[in-house]
Amino acid sequence: MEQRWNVLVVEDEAALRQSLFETLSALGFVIGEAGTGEEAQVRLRMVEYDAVLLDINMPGIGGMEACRLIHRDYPHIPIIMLTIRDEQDDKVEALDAGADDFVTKPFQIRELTARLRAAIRRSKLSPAPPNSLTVIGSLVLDPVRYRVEKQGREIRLSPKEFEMLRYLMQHAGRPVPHTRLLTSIWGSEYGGEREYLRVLVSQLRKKIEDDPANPTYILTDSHVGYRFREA
Amino acid sequence: MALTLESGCGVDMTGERSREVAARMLLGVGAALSITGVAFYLRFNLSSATSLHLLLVTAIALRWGFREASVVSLVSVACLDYFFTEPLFQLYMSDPHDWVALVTFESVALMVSRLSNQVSRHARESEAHGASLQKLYELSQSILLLNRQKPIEQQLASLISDTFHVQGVVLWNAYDLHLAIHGICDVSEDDVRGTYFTERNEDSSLTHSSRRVLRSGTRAIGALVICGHSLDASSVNAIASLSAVAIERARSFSAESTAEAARQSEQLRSAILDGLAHAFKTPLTTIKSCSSGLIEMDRMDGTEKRLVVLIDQEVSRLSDLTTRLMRTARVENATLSPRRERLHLDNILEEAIAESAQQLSGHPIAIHLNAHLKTIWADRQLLKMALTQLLDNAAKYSSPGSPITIEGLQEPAEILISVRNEGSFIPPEEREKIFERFYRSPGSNRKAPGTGIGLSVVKQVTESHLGRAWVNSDSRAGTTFFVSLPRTANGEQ
Repeated sequence: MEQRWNVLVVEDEAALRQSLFETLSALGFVIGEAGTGEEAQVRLRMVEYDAVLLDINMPGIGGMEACRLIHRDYPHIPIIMLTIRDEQDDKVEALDAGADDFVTKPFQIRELTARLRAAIRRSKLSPAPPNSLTVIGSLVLDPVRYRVEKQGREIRLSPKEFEMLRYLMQHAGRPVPHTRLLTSIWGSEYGGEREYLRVLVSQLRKKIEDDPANPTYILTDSHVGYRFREA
Repeated sequence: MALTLESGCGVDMTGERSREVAARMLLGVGAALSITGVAFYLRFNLSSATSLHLLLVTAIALRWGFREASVVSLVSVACLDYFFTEPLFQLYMSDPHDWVALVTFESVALMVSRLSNQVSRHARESEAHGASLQKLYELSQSILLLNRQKPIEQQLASLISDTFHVQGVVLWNAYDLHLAIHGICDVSEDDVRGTYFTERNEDSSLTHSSRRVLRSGTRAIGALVICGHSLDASSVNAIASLSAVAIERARSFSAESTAEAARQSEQLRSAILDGLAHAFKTPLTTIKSCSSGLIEMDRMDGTEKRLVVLIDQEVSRLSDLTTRLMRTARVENATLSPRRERLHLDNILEEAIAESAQQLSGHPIAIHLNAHLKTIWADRQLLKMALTQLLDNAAKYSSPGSPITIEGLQEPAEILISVRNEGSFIPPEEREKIFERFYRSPGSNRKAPGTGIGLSVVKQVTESHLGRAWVNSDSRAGTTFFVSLPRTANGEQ
């Protein structure tokens, strides 16, 4: 039996809140409900939650500000934002405001629960020492020896490709916005040249993916950035 | 009161002016007599006296004019004859030399008077010309201030009439067939229209009226009749061309405001669409979370589960449709200003295909890109949206399982992308219309679901990139949509 995680659902739309309550409860979560960001803060003070599910559009202080405040006061609780499709700026802003991940409305419950569980699992892990080996699937990245292996065979990467892979693998499972990835590889003066990223990603995919046209390691998070698959 | 059209010296002979002329004549005659007296007293000979008189007549001619100088010159001749030629004190001359001298004197005097008269007439004419220029200037200024909300012809007619103080003005606007009359003018509406249709200008000195065809460029756009005026032909021409400009200007303004109104209503419609789509999103999200939640719980038997899966699928479709509606509403709503960047065409195509994956399922897709064609200078989101629409369109209107071909060509000046599907013949008369918003070709309602928005988005996106979108269709080779984007955009170098 999997552990029953405590999740706070912050959603102003009563019907959606109810449906989330019913389905997530049935799927083994313990659900707390809040209709606004303000109410969420009150509940967070009273109950210890493992994750917060936060709608981005809400009356009062709104989802974005609520995200900022919750992340400031409870940095260890992962926040999953419920966003609307096509508003890519919102998603990036939410990630910058401290959200761990986002799910686009309307969503499949399966996707939502998978994201929730992954985020909670990551938050419970003790942070890995920066120089330890990272192993995801058949890929092994050794930051000390500057080596990447796939199924035991070394893959030769350019320095930039290595930087990108290391950053993505260290943030596996989480969406990494374009700008964050760009600045982590090229430095802070870069940020708008997404085309560099696309070129680099497609080179990297050719080297590490079994089928670069259908990537399974480096996934595209449309409008936002990239996401390395979960360990 | 009325004067001939051509006469520039048409000055009123008022009583006051006659008296003034008479007074000047008397004064001149007095001066001639005085000179005669002084010369006679000082015993001047004929030639000295003649010189003095010539001096006087010349001075009068320059100062006052022809009439005064002529009268004085005649008096001078009489005096010279009486006092200075043999026999003295008689109006008779015995010496033929004296005849010659006096005839010469009179001729010179008349010539000088005539010349001076011409000079002063020219001065008056140029003064009148200046005045009419001034009025034309006033007219052109007032035309700029005409009220655009009201019919232009009536305002123009009264403006011309007031500025040039004419009896009547009739103006006919051929655009909206509107006739405007101001003041009194003895012409029928048919006469005015006749001027327009025969395109004949006319000046009548009998009725002091002029007719002009109003032209914009070489095209006749109306007719103007001015009655009871004293303007010269060139002024009337100038008034006619100013009127034509005013009418043309009013027309283009009204065309512009009609376009503006259409744009505003389009904007409103887009805003409503956007609002509706947003309003649909929330309940759709709830239904989706319920249906997918039920599936995830996995506690139902076969029938129940199949029904819930059906709900789940249809909700996804509805939600997809709403998303598209919202997107296109936004495209229509905003004046598109593409944020261009250098894009890899194969990437964009890949993303567009991925986005339409659901619609394209079952259709084999072939991509042929010209070897030189790697990058394109365009707005990522907009281009992808346009390509997605074309792909959806191709999938929607072709038979299931038929191939869809995407081609990219690099021409010297443009980049050409085409999407071809089999079948779905579009008749020539509909090839323009299908790019209009909300247009659905008559047969398509039964064949495929759609909103009639998609292709208008393609058109708008390409036009915002200064490109074009069009379609070729033939019942055998299939239907091909083309998008061409110019290569010589900024940053291409």
